[in-house]
Amino acid sequence: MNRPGTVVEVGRSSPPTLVHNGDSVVLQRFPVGTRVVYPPDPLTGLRDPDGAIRRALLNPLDSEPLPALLHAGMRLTIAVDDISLPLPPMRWPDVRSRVLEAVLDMAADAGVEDVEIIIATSLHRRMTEAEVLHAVGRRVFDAFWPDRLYNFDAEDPEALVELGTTEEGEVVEISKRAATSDLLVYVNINLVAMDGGHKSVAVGLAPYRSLRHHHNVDTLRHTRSLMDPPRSALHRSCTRMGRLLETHVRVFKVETTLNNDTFPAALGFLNRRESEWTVKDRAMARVVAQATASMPPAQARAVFQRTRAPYALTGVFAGATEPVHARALESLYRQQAVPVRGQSDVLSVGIPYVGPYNVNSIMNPVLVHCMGLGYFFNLYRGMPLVRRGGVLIMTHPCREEFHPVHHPSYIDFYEQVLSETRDPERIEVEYEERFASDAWYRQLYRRSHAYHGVHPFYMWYWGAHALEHLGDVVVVGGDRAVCERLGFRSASTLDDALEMATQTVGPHPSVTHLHCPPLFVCDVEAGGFEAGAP
Amino acid sequence: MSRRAARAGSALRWAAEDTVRMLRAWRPPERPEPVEQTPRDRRPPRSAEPTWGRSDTSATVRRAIQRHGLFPLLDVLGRPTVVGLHHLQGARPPLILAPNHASHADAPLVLRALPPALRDDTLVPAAADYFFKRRWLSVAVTLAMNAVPFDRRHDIADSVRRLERLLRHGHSIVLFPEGSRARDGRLRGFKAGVAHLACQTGAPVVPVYVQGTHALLPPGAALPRPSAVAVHFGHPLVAQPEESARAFNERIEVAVAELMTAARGHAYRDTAPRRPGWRERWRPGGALAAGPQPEPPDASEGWIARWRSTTPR
Repeated sequence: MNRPGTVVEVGRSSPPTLVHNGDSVVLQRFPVGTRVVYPPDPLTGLRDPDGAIRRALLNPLDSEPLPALLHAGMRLTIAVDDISLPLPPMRWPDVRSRVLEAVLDMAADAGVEDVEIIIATSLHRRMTEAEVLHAVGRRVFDAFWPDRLYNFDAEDPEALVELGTTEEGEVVEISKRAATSDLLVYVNINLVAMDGGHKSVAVGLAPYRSLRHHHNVDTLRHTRSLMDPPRSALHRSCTRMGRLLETHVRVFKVETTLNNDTFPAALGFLNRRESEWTVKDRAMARVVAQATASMPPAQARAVFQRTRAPYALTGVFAGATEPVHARALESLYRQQAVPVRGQSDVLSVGIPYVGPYNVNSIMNPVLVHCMGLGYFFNLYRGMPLVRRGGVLIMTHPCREEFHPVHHPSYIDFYEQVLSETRDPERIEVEYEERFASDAWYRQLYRRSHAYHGVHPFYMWYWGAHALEHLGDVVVVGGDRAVCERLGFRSASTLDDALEMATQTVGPHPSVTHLHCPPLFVCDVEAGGFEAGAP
Repeated sequence: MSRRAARAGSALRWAAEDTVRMLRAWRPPERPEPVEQTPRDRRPPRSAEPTWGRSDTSATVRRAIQRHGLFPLLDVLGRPTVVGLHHLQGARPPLILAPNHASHADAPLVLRALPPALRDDTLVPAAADYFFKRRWLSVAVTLAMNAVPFDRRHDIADSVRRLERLLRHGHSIVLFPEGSRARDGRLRGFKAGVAHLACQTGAPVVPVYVQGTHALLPPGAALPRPSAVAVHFGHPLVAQPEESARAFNERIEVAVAELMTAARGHAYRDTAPRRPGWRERWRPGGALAAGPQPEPPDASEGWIARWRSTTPR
């Protein structure tokens, strides 16, 4: 039995709290009375992951066993999640390679010759050869790359097909290969509750024309939260589209859940609570904090980006989309749910070095906005951790640096759009279409390794609910000019940030800090924690 | 006397004997008549062969370094095992030892695995642009491993000629046919240099598979990580009279791959299907050639057979 997550109140004798700060970490002293939310301890991984995968494929939920769905002469497409999952990338063997090998063994036994594997990148950047190799494993790579294992291309009109329109008027368009297959097997890694379900196919294999129906300001403002699919307008839209899609193509879902053993032994202190640190952990925390702070940013980034997570498989479920997703969510919440009573005036988060869109890349200012206001703010079920009109304090250097290959449209979004307006609605109306249809961004997306031209807009919309909910956002250690461009305020120290927050929420604010990553989701109930009077 | 004391005594005795041997081998340096300074542009390149590394004094120092420093360190880090040493019974220098190359630890491990009589006469050609660029490093590798510079950038022909001469003088060499370390630990295509040398000198080539060094000290790693390693020797191969260097090179490559397959029990992790180099693809009809391209092979054909052939045993 693993130890559940908990809320610890900072006392006078509490050790300093570790806070992620981009490509570094800092040890911060929070005011006495601050709540620090810690993740549950990692669950023990399945003892025989390969055996568990085979058992799941042979005993699926609401579906015939996979071998019964496979026969010679059929057209089989397998889609897998891209580099945005898991975070950080996991140690070899990646869970995708395990599932793929099991599925392909069964396909080979059934004599299925026409097999293609698609990396479901949607509008994300194409994965490089080395990244694909790491994800799918040497055996699959050698047998299929590059003709029958490839990145999805959402801008190839020849490779897309429209399947219809939902009752809400949402156009469903996906990969033609997937839509015209006798069977589509989708292999998921459910790192957070947002992943999986109907969202996998309806987003992963869909182009802009289809995504714009749920990746927009209105939908994301009514997504409360991303980690609570029943209360998420985005997930409801994906479900409608997914159900329509499944009337045309048979989908066999394989969803996997991992424990939250996020950092390798050398960085083990990041997985543990400060009060339980050994002497070695304390020394390592100091060394890592000092060393990465004094390194040039590119070197510090390289140190962290080389990290591979020792995640273990905690659950694998196969079969029909909806029952599989329900069981996967159950398994995920068993690892990640932390009960928290009451909201607070101020929520503090440390933005780590990696997010879904900067693996082997740079966390640029627009992504910092997305991480803080999109992901961390949304780590709740029930109600947000911070009250309406409260303040979000992020810790991140927020430098004006972009990856020129991966994020070209982000640079123009930052320069041309954010210099004019930060209002998501105005941005959506005035600029989105131009970026989405820009021929140069399309070329870079298709031929280079660039995110789609419209991607930075989605990152901005991701924070739409938080922007509406929060009274102010302060960035500790953030570059002043960059923060101003993003609409945030910059503070030199945590004490300054808390002082600035009092201008919005009043004196003696209640503060909650998320000790994240490792990832978790807070089940927030009303009452129990007295918020300071505004 | 306790076992620890006995071991310490034995180590001290070895050290003392080596010191005495080294002192006996010492000769006063010869001082030749001063000669006219060669102009800078006519001086031999830095890869010029230093002969001091093969002196008796250096040999004695090398034995001491290997016995008391290098090999015990390898024993602690890699717990090496040696397989197939019987293939070297009765073998006399010159030999060309042709191991796979995944790590800087390969050469010292091969040296450690050799019988002392063979080891003392064995040289290790090392990249001049890496090991002989800095003086301290060149002295270290020459003293520890009997390294000789191999200029792989500018003057390969001259370097090969020098190796040929060394082989004719009765030295064995450890030469990596892959050229440089494989970044992913897998076997890369063999270059024909080893086969060419063997064809020219008639020296037998011993295929060697060094297992596990990629985990011990992968390229780019600053420090080794303890990991079990093994050195597998194969039966020496001799170039046949009319056999071309290219054909002999293929035989050597197959022999090393077979050793690897036998050692690991399965082949697929290490032997990816060989992809043509850019020059092969550039040739008329190659993938990069201008003009109409030949139809690619039907990829759907045979994935199942390929898949089954890589099933782990």
